[in-house]
Amino acid sequence: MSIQFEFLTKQYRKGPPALSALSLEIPAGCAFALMGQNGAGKTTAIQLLLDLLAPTGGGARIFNTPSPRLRPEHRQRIGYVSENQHLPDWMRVDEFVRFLKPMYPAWDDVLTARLLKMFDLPMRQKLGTLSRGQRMKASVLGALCYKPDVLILDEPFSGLDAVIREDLLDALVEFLSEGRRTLLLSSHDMNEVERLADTIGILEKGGLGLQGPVDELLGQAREVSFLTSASNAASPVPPPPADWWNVVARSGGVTFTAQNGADESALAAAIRQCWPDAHSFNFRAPGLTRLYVDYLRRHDAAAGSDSVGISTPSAPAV
Amino acid sequence: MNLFAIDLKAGAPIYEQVLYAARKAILSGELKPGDPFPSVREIAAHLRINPNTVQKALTALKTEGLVETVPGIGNRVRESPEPRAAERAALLNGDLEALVLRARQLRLTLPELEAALRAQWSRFQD
Repeated sequence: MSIQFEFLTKQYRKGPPALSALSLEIPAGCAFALMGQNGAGKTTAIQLLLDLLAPTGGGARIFNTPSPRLRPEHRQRIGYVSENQHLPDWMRVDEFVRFLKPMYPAWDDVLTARLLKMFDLPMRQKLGTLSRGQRMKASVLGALCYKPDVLILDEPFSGLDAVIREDLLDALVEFLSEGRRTLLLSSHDMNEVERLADTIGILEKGGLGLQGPVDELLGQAREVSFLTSASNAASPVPPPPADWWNVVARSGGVTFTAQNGADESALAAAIRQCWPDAHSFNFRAPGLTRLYVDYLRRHDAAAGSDSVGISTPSAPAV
Repeated sequence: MNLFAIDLKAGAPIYEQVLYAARKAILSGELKPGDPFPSVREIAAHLRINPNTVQKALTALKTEGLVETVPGIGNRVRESPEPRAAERAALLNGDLEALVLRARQLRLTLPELEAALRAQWSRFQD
């Protein structure tokens, strides 16, 4: 295992726990995306993993070493970039590269030269005067050039324009192509998560919700829509099962995401149990955005102004 | 090689889009048996996606007998018998679904749709 979280818990002075007993294992060679809304605990989990914060319970490991015992020889194999990366602003780009190189035995000059060219970074400009996108590129360069076994990126794309995102994606795909590299990525950006991650985990209120390989989750799930004239379209009897997420009835049409819908004829039969006159079924494997949003909305009572909330076993409508 | 030209769309799994594009290129004859098939690294870099995802798609293509890896040379489209009609027909699924949906909206019966289809088909017969 490259990365392990074991009952990791963090309680800040105020509010509910930021993380409560998070357990998760990320094997070597896996590209894992930690997803979840703001405040779900993504950044806290990463900071605890890197020993930038102390847990109030449980623990985390990298390379089987507990976070508080990470030594420089471990850190030389870990790359870390956060959204608001601290950089030595007084250094020029070329000075920054010369400053980092002696700290990492695995530093690769050829890769460095290629990334500098690819990122088009102004060598003689001070880091403090770079744009936000250029700073992020410098940070990513500083983490990739020693070819770490584990790369940890905390919201690397937020607030960056499309051109810079594409440059970063190019560099990260190349990184992933070089052997068994492990990536832990926290992000809101579905496009980048979908491209980079082979496995996802959704954090919810400090705990791990839906998780698994992206292909399997999307291949098993179905984005469902059908028509019904039933007067009870919005309140079917019996109520839909808990693994039908974000069931919304809107002027004769019903939509939701079924977590386990690969057997489409069984799914259609199950739908007819709830809506006997259901017809014009449309099933397709959802994209990651649909799966994510419908999963997080699975307890919502009403999703839109002209929609009607559907009761589910876990969130009974009043 | 059209696999590089695929435009990844949001709203559908990337793995399936890559697999579909590759199947389509091979079964439609755009890629001929013996033609080189790009490596995992090339496809990943061009589409900007995780190589693990590409690897899974490639494994599926090999299982289906569409692509083979030749040691020392690389991937190539396999010398294979004519693809089965069912495989080629499966490429039409999306279009057929749209057609059936539209026909049902217009309240056409299946025989009426068949007749319309036959009429169109005969227009292209030599």
